[in-house]
Amino acid sequence: MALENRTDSQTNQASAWIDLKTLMAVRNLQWRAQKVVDGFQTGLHRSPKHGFSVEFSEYRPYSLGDDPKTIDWKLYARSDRYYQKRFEDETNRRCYLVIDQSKSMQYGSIDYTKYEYARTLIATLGLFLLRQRDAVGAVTFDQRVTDWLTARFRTGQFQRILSMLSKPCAGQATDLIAPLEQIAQLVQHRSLIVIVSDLMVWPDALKAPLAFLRARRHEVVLLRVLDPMELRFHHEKPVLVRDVESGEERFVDPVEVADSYQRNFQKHRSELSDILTPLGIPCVDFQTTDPMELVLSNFLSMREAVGSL
Amino acid sequence: MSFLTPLYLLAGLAVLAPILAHLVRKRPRDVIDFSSILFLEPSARRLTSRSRIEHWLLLFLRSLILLALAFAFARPYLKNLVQQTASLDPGKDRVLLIDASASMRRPGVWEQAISKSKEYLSQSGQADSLAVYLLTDRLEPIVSIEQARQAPGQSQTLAIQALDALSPTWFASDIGKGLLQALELLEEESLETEQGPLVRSAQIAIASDFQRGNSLESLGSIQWPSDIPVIPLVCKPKSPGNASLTILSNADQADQADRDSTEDTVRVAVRNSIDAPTDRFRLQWLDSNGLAFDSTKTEVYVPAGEQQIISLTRPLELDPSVPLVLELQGDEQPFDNREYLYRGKKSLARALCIDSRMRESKDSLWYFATRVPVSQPQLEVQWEQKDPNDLLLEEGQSPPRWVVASSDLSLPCAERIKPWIEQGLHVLWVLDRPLETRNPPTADQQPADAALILKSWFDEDSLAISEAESNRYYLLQEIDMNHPVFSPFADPKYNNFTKIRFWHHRNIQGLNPESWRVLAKFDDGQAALLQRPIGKGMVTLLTSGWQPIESQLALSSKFVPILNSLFELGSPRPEQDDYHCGDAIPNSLIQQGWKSTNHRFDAPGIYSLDASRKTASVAPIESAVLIKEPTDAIAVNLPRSECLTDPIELEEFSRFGIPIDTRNIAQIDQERTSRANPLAEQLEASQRGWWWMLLFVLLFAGFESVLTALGSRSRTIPSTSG
Repeated sequence: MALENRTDSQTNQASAWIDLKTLMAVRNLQWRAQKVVDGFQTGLHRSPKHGFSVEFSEYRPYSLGDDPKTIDWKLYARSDRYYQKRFEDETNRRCYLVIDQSKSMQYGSIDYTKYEYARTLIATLGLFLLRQRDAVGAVTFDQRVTDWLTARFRTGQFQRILSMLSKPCAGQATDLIAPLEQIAQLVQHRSLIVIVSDLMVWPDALKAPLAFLRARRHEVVLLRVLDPMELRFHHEKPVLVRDVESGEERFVDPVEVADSYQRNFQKHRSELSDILTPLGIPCVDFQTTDPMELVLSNFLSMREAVGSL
Repeated sequence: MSFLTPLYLLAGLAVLAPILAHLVRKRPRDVIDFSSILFLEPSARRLTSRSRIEHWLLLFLRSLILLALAFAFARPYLKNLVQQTASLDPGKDRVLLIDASASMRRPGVWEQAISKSKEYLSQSGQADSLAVYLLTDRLEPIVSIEQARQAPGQSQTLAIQALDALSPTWFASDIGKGLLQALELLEEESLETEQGPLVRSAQIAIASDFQRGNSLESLGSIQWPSDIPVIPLVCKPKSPGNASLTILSNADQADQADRDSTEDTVRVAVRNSIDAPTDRFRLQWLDSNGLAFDSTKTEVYVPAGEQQIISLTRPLELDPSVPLVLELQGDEQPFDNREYLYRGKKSLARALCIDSRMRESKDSLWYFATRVPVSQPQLEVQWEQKDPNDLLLEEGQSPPRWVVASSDLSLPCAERIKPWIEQGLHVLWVLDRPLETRNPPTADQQPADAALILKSWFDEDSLAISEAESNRYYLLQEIDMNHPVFSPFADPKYNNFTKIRFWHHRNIQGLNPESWRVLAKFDDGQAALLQRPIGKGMVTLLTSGWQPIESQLALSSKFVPILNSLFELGSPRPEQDDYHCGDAIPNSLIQQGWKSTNHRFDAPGIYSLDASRKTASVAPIESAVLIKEPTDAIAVNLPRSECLTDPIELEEFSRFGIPIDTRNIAQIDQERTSRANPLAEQLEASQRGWWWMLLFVLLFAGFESVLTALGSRSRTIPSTSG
């Protein structure tokens, strides 16, 4: 599945959503997640996305050989036809929210960092899914998995996720390979794995671990968080740029590298797309200035695209 | 377009600096953190064409500033203007002051001063005007500024010729005053030429030994113009060191007894200069012709830079009035080694107290009057107490210096002294007795009425004398503090007269206020002390007595000063005791017949009114009929400041803000020839090309600052690290 971009209609909705700056200024993560989800769910009834809930129950015409106990007799009484009803255990999902805690996520050219944004996003998604009665787990990683919370649907699961996200991150470099392999081994049941990262790695390295996850029948969704500066590098004058992860310094003339930066970035994105599309993994880029509701809305679209979820 | 200092144009190469600065990119001082340098390609450190275009205006301005500065330092001027105005070269006013004081008499100094002056004069330009003044305690023109201006081409020859005729004087020198006068002369002259197109520059040179006796303090009174430099032409003696001799005056010794005892003793100060090679000297007495009295010599040891005071005894066998010369031997600089001494004869004078002997001593006038010491250093006053009747017998005697008369003064006696008064005698008439208690008349004389005496003296009928009421005491008021009698009491510390009470006094009616001067009044408005001149003399009237039965005046501390002042009105003290070369001949001496060609003492020596003994150019006029004894001789010595021959540090001139050009003449000359065209220099100064260049630099710099500020403001962006 190809990388997706926001549509104009979605952007237009942004004016109705909660102001991101104000939201991020609040320290309480739970409050942030609740406000986003509340606002989002309020609007959901008027939204064209209506009906894509996990609680959607499916009716199928009865055919010979099916268990007669699955026949909905009430429906039969109304319509005089036999319909089979799907049961709840098939609609409840396990979902793992995976967040990148590497040093590059600590970067931010605006008031908050990419990690802060990603944290809010994870909390929002977690709350949203939990309210849909899905089992939700969480994983943090940098070079390896640093924290693990098994997907459950039970009281206090959201608080556990929050406390996990509140821990300070001491990550250095980003290494997606080892953590993904670890996750593939740890997650036994078929699950939806949402990975929030900036994906500042060479795309080739991602191929093997993601393919491994897919082979384990997990559904994988990549939410790529990017700083506005990363999308369009600019600076007033020539400057020495230091990589926050490796500490390597590079002299850069912003005027001169502006084009090549865009070129390299697009190239990286297309390489990423080349790898993810065959694997059927959707990946969406978000700027840290994008409203949470937009991300949530995109997430639901992607899940619909994934289909079987 | 030409340049005065073209080498400064090389500074224009500094324009390369901003160009290089614009070409070379500095290593960025700030480092920013970024999430990943995955997509950033390293840049080569070179200038991109875009940034060069961005700053070209700034580069242009900065280059222009440097070029304009280099241009300004090269001092540009327009040559064609120089040629046009070449004929208008104003030249320079040069004023040469030649110190002709006594210290220039030291061996070698004067010759050096003349040769240096000639050297200085010969190096002047054709258009320069050369004025030469002789510097003593005043300036005497040899070639005045006005003369020099009138003939600038000839002033050099004129001045050099004039130098040969000069010789040092015996006067003191005052460089500070001389410089001020020279400056005034220059300013006066420059005012006249103010209308001209170019203002002449000026310069003052001083050929002098710059000895410490010169006072520079007067230079502190003005702000010296910075464009008039002073060039010192320092003249040094052949041999260093100098010892000098000063006879100290003993006129200040007030005590009569002390004065008598030191009559034959003379105190001498011997001073030795800091750089003196010798410290042992001898003192010897000579007569006025320079011959030694005897072989007696007094050895003196004075270390270098110190002063020694010695008491010497005059040759005893000589009359004190004989003029003497004291010579210091052993010093190589003879000009200040002789000191002339003439104490003069002490003249005698009589002071008469006309009072009756018949009274109790303390009630009489003479009891207190004769106890007042009225003697002066050169005047011995002897009191004589006379009965009014006795005086008539003294025919043919010389007139007294002062007369103090009591109420007992008789009419014949008053008539007897009237001619003396008209010739200059001062009479103090004290009405010290109530009118009705006067002495009974003697057999052959009627009691003289005071009013009759006044009438005989002043020819006024309106004057009448009456006794004031004595039911209370009287105090003095309306005291004329401007009068010499009371001026010593003008200070508020001393002007309290309320403790002097008068028990009785007499009233004088019919006073003409135009002819009588009332010095003090009683508090009933009646005159207490009043004066009126008769001829050359003066009559002073006190309308009460000073005896205790009349008042408390004699017991007051103010009595002696008042009586002394009254005496000195008639016998003023000599103006000064010591005379020095250069001093103006005092009026008192001129009145006695002294005169001189330039009205001052020219050389040290003994000056005498007697034509046979006089020296130098002082000559008496014919002897007039004199009332006082004439001053028969005067000792004139070298000014003491001339004896201080240690040189002044030239830095002291800079203390007063005077630009001193201490380069020697050769250096100045060299600099002069090194400049291609002095005229061009002057024209360059008048065109002020550099001034305009500097103005441009300031304008460009301001514009550049504005541009930089605007540029930096537009490029400012928020911080890029989160």
